[in-house]
Amino acid sequence: MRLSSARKDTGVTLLEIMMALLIMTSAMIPVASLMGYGGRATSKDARRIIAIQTLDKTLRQLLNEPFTEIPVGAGIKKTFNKVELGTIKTPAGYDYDVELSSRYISPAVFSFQNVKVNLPSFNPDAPLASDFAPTETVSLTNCILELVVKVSWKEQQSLTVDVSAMTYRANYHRRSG
Amino acid sequence: MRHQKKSKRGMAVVIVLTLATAILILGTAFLKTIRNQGGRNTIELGAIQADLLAEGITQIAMLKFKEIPGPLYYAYVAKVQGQTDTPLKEYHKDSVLAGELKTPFAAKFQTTYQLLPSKMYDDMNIKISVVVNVTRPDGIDYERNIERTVSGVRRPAF
Repeated sequence: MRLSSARKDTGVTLLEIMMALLIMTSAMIPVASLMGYGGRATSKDARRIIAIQTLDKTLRQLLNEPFTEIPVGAGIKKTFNKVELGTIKTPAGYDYDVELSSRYISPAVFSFQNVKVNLPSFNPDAPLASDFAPTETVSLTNCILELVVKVSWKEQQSLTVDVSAMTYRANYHRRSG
Repeated sequence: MRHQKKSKRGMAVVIVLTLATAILILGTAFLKTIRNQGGRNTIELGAIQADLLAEGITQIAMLKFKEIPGPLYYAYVAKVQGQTDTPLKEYHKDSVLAGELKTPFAAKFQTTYQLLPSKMYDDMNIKISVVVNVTRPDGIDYERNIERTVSGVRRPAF
């Protein structure tokens, strides 16, 4: 009789188990939702990384294309040469919209101070301040292109997100063209 | 004896509370890691934006040198000989070589030409350095420096 009473005292009561379960459950609910959030965040990051890689690849491809073959205009989505534009489907199954906007920086104005090489006192190895003419400019037409690429994609099936970058292309062969 | 029995009561609750706290701490650390990961992607975009912009400005700088090489050469010699540095400063002043962007992202850029002469200026190598500073969406600046060397040979005009 005495032994049975002692056993009862040392055990865990049903009330304790219930309370423990309640606390454990309330702690596990946010942790479980956190796991889901982690998974979604990883997928979102993966989509963004692929978009940035696509952006980099497209602009680097544009830097290698012949100057005269780059189309000029806003919102160009038509693929040309090796530059993939428009809707791109990646092996991971994500869809991206790649858009090019290009325009001439025209006229491109370059300033400089010419040298009066015809002056009798002119020494090409040590030109004096007085040997330089006042500042003048050279204006070049249609020989610098500003290229902006925008890569956009959808998050949560409706929210459109985009990344963009820009570069310039110069036409070094404008005189021979 | 009675005191010993009393101390064992409620132990399950204490253990569970400790465990739950540990889980919550781990969860918070996990959340922090995920948030930092997002920041790292922003850094990567800033680096690519700065890099591509610097590549483009280098092309413009090379075009200017190709079109107007003489004034740069004499301006550099005049500066090195201690005569005047104004013509060299003038050569660097163009807004396409030293300026700032507002769209599609905020950036500042600066171009520097440097002559690397050999054989008393018969061979002329030009180093073009472009420094681009991109301001990330979170307000932190990201800097990229690109250097290109163009080699040239001085030829008599006639």
